[in-house]
Amino acid sequence: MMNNKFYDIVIVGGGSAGLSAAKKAFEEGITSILIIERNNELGGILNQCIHNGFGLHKFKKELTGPEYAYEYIKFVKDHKIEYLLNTLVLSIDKNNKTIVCSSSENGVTSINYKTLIFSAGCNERTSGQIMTPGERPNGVYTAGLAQKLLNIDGYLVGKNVYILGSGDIGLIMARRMKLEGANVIGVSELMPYSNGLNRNIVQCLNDYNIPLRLHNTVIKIHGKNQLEGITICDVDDSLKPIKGREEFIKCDTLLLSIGLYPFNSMLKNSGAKVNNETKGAWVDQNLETSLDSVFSCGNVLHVHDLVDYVSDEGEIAGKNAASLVKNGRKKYSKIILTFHNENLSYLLPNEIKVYDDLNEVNFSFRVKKPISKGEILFKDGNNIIKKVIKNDLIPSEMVRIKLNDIDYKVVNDLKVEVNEL
Amino acid sequence: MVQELICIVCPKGCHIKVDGENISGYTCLRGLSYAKQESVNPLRTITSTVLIEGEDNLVCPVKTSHEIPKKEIFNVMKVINKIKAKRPIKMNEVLIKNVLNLGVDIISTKEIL
Amino acid sequence: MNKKIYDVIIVGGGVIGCSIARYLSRYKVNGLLIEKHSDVGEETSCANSAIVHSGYDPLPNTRKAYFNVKGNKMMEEVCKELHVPFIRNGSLTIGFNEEDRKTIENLFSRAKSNGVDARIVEKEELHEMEPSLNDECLCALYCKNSGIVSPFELTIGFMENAMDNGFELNLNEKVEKIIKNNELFEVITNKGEYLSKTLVNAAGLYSDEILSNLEKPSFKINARKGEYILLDHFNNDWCKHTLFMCPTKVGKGVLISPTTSFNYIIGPSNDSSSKEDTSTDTSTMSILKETAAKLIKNIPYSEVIRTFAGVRANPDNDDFIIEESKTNPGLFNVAGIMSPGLASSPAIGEYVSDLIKEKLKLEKNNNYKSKRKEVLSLNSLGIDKYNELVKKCPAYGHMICRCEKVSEGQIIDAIHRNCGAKTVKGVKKRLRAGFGKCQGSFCEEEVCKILARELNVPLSSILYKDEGSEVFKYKSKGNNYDE
Repeated sequence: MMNNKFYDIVIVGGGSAGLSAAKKAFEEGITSILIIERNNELGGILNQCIHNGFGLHKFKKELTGPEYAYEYIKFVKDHKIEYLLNTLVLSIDKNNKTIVCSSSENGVTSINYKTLIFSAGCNERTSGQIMTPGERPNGVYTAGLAQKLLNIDGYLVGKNVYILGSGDIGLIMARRMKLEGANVIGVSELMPYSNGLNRNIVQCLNDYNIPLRLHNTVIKIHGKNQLEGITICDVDDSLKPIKGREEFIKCDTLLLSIGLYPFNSMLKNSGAKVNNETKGAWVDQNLETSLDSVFSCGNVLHVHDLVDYVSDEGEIAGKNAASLVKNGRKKYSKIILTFHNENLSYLLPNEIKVYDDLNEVNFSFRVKKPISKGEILFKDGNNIIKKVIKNDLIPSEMVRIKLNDIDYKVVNDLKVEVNEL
Repeated sequence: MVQELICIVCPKGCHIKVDGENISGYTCLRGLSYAKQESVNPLRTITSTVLIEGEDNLVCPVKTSHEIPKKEIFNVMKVINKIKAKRPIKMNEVLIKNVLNLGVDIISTKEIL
Repeated sequence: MNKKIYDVIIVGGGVIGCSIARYLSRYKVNGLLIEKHSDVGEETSCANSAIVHSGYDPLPNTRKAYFNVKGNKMMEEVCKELHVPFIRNGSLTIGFNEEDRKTIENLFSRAKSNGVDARIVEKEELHEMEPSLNDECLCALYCKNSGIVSPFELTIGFMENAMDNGFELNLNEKVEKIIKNNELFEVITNKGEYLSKTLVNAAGLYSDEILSNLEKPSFKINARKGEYILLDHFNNDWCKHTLFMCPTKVGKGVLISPTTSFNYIIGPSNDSSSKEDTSTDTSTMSILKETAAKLIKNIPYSEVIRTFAGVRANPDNDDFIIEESKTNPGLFNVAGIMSPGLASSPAIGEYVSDLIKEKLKLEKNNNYKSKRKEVLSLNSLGIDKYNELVKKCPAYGHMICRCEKVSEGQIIDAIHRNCGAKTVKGVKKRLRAGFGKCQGSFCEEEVCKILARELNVPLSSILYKDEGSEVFKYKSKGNNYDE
């Protein structure tokens, strides 16, 4: 192919991570930026999240999803940052630093990048993935799809709704369906605790007298063509259904809010190293992946609970991509690998490249189970480098800690431990 | 009558009991003030959508400009369900002024030109 | 008014009914196929192992053996004509001990009697052929002609080709009654009445019930449910052959096989069930996993994208029933087409169509076209040719399904063909949009909108599969939904 277009920074995905990366890179002085978005508008999943509660960290005010996105979209448009809509990236060629994308306007085309920021977001887990037993009728939707149909297209997928999983999207959808006139029968959560924020339990379920059944799950889907009902059942401590505790619930809709995972397959297929715990890319502290000059941020890296943090991560990727464009590749003296103990479900970054000017590393992790009184230890071997006391840690809230007072040059490997006190 | 509340101020989720002036179970001052407001007059922001005139079922997201009393939620929804917005819709354009005399407007939360 | 008299009516649009229609359309024939679902291939034909068996397994001199071997030979050409994905990936029937070796030697001689190219491979070669196998895998019967096919596209390809050549298809129509009336068959459905000179009973699981309209069935169909686990296409080298387990007294075990889309299928179970029961259950899934672990350890179940079940029509005599009724001449029963029915389908279609041709003295259809219009994709065309297509029809550039890379243009084409897609599931079966890891949670909305636009019907009428399964059910605003 001749005359490929060339950009200093190509951003795959125009949602919250990609937009904030673009904004930051532009502020850092890069003007050759292209955002590629598969949808017909920028903003990503924020467009369908019409509820409020976004932006408290970032803008110190409560915004709805579209309002939050607007803050960034306006910046992109005002500063004439280039973007392509209705364009799907098909593959990444790491050797030639090229991506292939497709659209009606341009067909299948290649675009060259100096740096690439991969911010393609995440997917919802489906009933197939958790192998929900029973039939496979219409009426079983991921909460996000039902949200899109309701908030963008103006359609309710059903009138009698049950929800599996107490993740925030499920709770938010319970309220939305109820407000728009559906009967929301209840929510089942496999774990003994909810995966949603208290605020959402109170304002989405309790406000509308929607029962939350903990330690309970759907054990059968009924109806061949259209959902006719489900069987729910209490589970024991090993999360196995308890015989005799089954209950049939008549409903025409089952919404699933059973978790999200990074939509990272394209990066994986291009040869990028994968973090087996997050299923996202393996990254260093700059959010650069194992592929040269390819960065990853947002929900495609690891699933976030707050969009504000997604934006922060986008900024880190945008800033470091910009720096790579401006200053070229710097030398680093060594690579420190990071580890964690059994109370964490994952830890980012996976490695720290010790550049001469390295002074700050942002760590993100989640705990595996609720810890009411915890200590967070940063250790090099048995040597405690830093200790942070933090209470009320729960799996659904990501913990972020910035360490900038450490001499990384003398650290061999870095382990993060969370211990219950 | 004793009211039981779950505090939403932080992830801890304290169970607070409110019995008239007697409030117990909170562990911080922010929790106390939340319990006071929530037990007397719980307030909520409502978000929904409205139809757009001349469009085939296209909807525009909206919200209440400020919080409204919880008990008014479904009354406000009835009003929201009836109206149609006219394009072009500006960000935070007032679509219903002073809805049900609550002193709160229904405003758009998206620019639809 | 005189009612149209068909030469032949086929009851049932599974792979067998559609194949018969396709081969019948080689002749000048007034034919109609009646299918109760919203699409062809909605029951057994869309929920099976998708294997084109080589033919080593059926007992010699059975119909199963004859049609399997013949169908396998025909499959390559048929799939080329119909643009259906087919790969001769070869099968390995694996033994784990010396007793299994004896069984494998028996199967080898059976293969020879059936005329199937087979040989026994020993451990070293076996593990070279399939490095993921467990160390306990000792030897195997290797049949290089075994293959995999897309059962959805094969069924649809048959029907589309039949319609291209003039055959008719009525969907969403359930046969309620059949009467023999002065040498003619009168077929009464929930929507109309039709007359025909001959009748093909290809009603799969319900073929005994259909037959009982006319005579006391000489056979009974037993429903056997097979449950499956489907994995995403995570690594094209993980398993290349179809891996069977050597049958033992306990049972046939399970198979692991790639599919034509490089997903992996694990299954089936084999349990007595009702004809309607396509549910999966947890205990069967555990048994599948346990059994499959004998073939390959550490199967990556984190890659599961779906579980499903299909019900097979097992006749009580354990062989295909393909014959003209003695009581009702002109009635052809094509029933009990269990495994290896998919592999046998072209051979059965050809054979039955020739029986009918003889019966009715049908003439050759000189306008018969054996080729189906090509299904265009980026993969099949390559970038440069695909871009020429996008220039002519920009919708081909607009990718709708991001997991499986399916474009709007492909969906439009699939809708407007004969036997075109009318439902979300119909699009999924033809193009794989919604078949990927996200299971349609990203593209289902778009697919519905394209269907509504192209079929020129309201969005709220678009179905997921059969009647009653609307996706865009109720408008949230306006008068449609008032409490």
